[in-house]
Amino acid sequence: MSTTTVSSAHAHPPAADKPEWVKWLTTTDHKKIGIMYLVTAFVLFMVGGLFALLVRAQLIVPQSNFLSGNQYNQMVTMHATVMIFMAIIPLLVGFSNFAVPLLIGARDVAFPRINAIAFWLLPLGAVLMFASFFVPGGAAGGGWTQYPPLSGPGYSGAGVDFWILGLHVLGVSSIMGGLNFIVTILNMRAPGMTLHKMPLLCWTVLVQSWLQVIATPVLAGVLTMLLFDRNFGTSFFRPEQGGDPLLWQHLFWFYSHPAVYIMILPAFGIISEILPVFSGKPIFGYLAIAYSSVAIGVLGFVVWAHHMFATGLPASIRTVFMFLTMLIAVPTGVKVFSWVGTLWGGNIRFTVASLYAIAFVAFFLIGGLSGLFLASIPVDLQLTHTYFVVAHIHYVLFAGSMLGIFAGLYYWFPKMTGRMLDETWGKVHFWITITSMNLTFFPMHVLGIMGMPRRYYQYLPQFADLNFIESVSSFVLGVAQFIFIANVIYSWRKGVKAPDDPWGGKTLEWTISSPPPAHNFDEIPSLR
Amino acid sequence: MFFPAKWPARAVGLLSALLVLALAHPAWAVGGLNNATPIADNVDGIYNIIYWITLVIFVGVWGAMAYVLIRYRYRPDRQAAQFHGSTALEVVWTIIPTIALIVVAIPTYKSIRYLENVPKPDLTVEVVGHQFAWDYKYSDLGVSLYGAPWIEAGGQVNKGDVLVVPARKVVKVLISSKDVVHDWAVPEFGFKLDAIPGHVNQGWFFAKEEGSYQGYCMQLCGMSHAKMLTEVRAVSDAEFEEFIKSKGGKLAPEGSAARAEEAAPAAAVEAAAEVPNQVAAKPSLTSEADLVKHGAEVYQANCASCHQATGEGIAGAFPPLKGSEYTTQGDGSEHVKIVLKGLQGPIKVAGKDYNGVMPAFPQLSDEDIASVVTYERRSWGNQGSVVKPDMVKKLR
Amino acid sequence: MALEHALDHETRRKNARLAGLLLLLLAFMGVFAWALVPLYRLICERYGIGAIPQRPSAVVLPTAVGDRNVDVRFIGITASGTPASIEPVEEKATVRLGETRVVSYRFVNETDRSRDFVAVHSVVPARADKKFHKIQCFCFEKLTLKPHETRIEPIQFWVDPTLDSETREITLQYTLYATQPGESTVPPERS
Repeated sequence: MSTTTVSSAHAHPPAADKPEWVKWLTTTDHKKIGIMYLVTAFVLFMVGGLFALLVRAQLIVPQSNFLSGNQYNQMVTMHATVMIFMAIIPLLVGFSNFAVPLLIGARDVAFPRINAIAFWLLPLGAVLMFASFFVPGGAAGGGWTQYPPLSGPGYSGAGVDFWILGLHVLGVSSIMGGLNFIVTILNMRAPGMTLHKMPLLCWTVLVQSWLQVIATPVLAGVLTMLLFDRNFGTSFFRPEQGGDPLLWQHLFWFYSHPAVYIMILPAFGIISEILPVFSGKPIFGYLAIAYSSVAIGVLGFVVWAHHMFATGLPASIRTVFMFLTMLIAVPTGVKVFSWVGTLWGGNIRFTVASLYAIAFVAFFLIGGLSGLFLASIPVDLQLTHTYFVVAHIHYVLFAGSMLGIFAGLYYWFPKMTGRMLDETWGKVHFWITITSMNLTFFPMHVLGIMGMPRRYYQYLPQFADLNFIESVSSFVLGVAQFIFIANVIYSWRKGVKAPDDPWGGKTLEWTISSPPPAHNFDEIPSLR
Repeated sequence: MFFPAKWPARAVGLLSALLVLALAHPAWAVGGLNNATPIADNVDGIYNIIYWITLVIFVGVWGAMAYVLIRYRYRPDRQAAQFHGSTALEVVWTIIPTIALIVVAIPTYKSIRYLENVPKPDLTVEVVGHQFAWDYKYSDLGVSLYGAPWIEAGGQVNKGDVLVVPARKVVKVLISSKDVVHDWAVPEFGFKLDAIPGHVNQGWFFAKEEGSYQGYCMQLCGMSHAKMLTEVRAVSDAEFEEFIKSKGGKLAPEGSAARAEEAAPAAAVEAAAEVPNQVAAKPSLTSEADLVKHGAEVYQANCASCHQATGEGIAGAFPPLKGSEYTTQGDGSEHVKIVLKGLQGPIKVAGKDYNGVMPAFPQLSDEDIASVVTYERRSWGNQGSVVKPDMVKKLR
Repeated sequence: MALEHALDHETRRKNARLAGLLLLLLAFMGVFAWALVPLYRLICERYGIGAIPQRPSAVVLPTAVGDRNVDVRFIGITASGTPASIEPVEEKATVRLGETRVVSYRFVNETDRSRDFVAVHSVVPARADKKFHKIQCFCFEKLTLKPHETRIEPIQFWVDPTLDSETREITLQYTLYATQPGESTVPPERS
């Protein structure tokens, strides 16, 4: 293997003895930044989870007064906002950060300082968001979708302004990260690593990064318009001044639909890395998975109005969006079949990482299939705004993204920390999580079909049994995560030391030590 | 390091059993919800097609996975097969889902068209949402109902007014909001439509049977969103008539608005505003009788709204034509010019001041203008001159 | 923050170039987001999607009379917190396509101060929006009503003969809002 040294300086003088915490605070090392993303976002995931448990506590009986209608709306709004922007997206970015440069044989990302700034915007955005609980009127309560006029002047308080500002900060972080990874992946692959030899996580991160750069500015625009309507007397969304509430919905969903692909694509990539390793054979249909990810990214921009089927848009317009939405099912289905094909004929080892990856395929499928019901307009008119949508969302985001994230955490923890997580406790975490996850979210399909509306803090008696089951399960699900946290805390210090390659991985990160040296590779690998 | 091989198999078996049990829950039959309208039946049909397709895919994938996880679980002596893919397989599993989607799309498309074309309604109701109740106005019957948030207190639910409709009749609803975005939904009808302020949306339903049907607000609208419930009660025709009468309204034959007020001008305008069904043959209008007769029709369509059928106008707003110097004096050219070009600014009519805006009517034909001007100059006791179409033509 | 791994010159140049292009793309998307506001109006008007119109379209006069009638329904609602009422004088009219008709709405100011109001209109079905031509109306005009004043305002309209044959009834709705310079139209603190 010839070695073309790309970087000129990989030896650096030992740092004058700065305390460890200062090193972390000022680091531009993608590996440390990745870990900081993962830790911060996981903490925020638990906060978002706490909000969810408060919601489920309210819903354990039909007419509870544990939370007022107002408080409940804030919980629902902030649960979703935290989970989307402060948990799932940054958790996935954490993996991009840690793994992508290693996977392509680079020493770092293209712009390490921008990378650091992008990370620090995450806690800043979170602070702004949480500050909103303390303003008069409390946090924003219009749902994470914040449709005006409810989110506009006169119907809600300053919590919405804080929500907007917090999202602006988080959006900038997202854009910076996206830009960084596009440049890194396109320009800094090791010699001989063509796009078609690049690991699939890099493909999915590349598509995700394009989505972040292209779609997030539209979110920034529409948020600013709402801020202006609320504070500077403009009338983008106010009918009395010639504005239109529907304009918000179009612009908001123009970003927020690609956002759901931002939230799932890297998880597809993680699964595509893990399954081949534990199956002992190559990924099935590499090109199909790569290009179907691109197809999903592109199609994701032209389906936004499927969130608006009940708004009274003309049938012809809705029909176009319906056909495009159904089309997206095809590239997604292709992936599921490819993953099964990856397991077929293998020699399958069940570690916690592979268990989570397998569970991802099994349960994300349910989320994808429920989406098919929602794609058909007449059926959607029956099921939208009900718990059926809540079921769909949580199957794709929890049974999908989060299971993928857990798979990645168990898989790369040894590489990140140099220690092994405890496999037995990992399996306990796994089985409790997927059982309680299904018991929490599956009945929501049924509730939706029965007509239970979403965002209701109290409900009619016929919905009581299923809600009770869901609430109890959700508490179990929440508590089970502490098993993972305890495992992480213990193992980071006292876990079995990890070898370079505990799993038999085939990608570049397993050729170096666990954790890797600061400069990643002594010599940049070449695939020529 | 690896789990004993039997566990995954057992776990898969257990989970599958649980899921099958869940799928057998009767609520999957569209939630055990009563299909109360043909639209709901329609939706049910499409839902079932999708359900079977997804069930096949689900069982297929889970079956394959269960097989694979058991058959290919780790054994130290096993060699994993090193294939990268199979073009044939990839083509097959791209085409089959596409076909499945087409199968879903066809009845779906038909259903969309069915919903979009509102049939001739037997009843029209304005549904207006506001924080936190629904108000209903029976447009042609003079009845308005006001809802209230459904608050449960001491085992009783205060429902406010429910929407009473005749069963087996096409009901068109015109949905809007007075404040924020709401959504009017009746799951048993398969009905859902947003109420957006500044917009009006239209939909329709046909209740197959008498009964009470639960309605909800389905768009987060504030703190009492969960209290913005409603009910649609479908009743027999006789009961419906009773109900309308009890609310002070009047069932009227299709096509005219019978309102509870004495609205003489309005009713007169309505009654007279029937437009003949054939294209009006252009009459040769030269005699005063012909001009006045045609002029009456043009007047009802274009002038009576403001100047009133009695020609008396509305004090302070629209000047009278009866006894006005504009309609009784001169040769009519001033009068014609006003109709042709409009008039603005302060004027005095019959000793009173007016300062409104009279719109222009250049789109009316010479014959129409001559007729209506003549009508105005020769009605209500006015003894003004007759005006012929060629004068109008010259004054354009 | 010391940069720990210096990249070679060529890579840095390539990276800077690509970053520059991406920043251009970002700027474009930023402009695009704001351009979507007028674009939305344009597209809705062009395809008759029925968004809330912002300013009066050019006055178009009818040129030919059609061969059938269509029912037009008039409704009016008052936005919450607006101390006035709006009611159609005529609730329905049957009109020949291509012929003009005048109807009016009655406004009542229920306060004892002079107030400004505005009426926002919406037409349904959406495909009829482009075919419903108003020659004169009080849309977009500020209506200043004196204390307890009742005002009747006319609308002069005609329906285009090219209206699709499936539409039997068109509904025109006005929503009345109160506006006062500097004053919000909605009641305070409703969350």
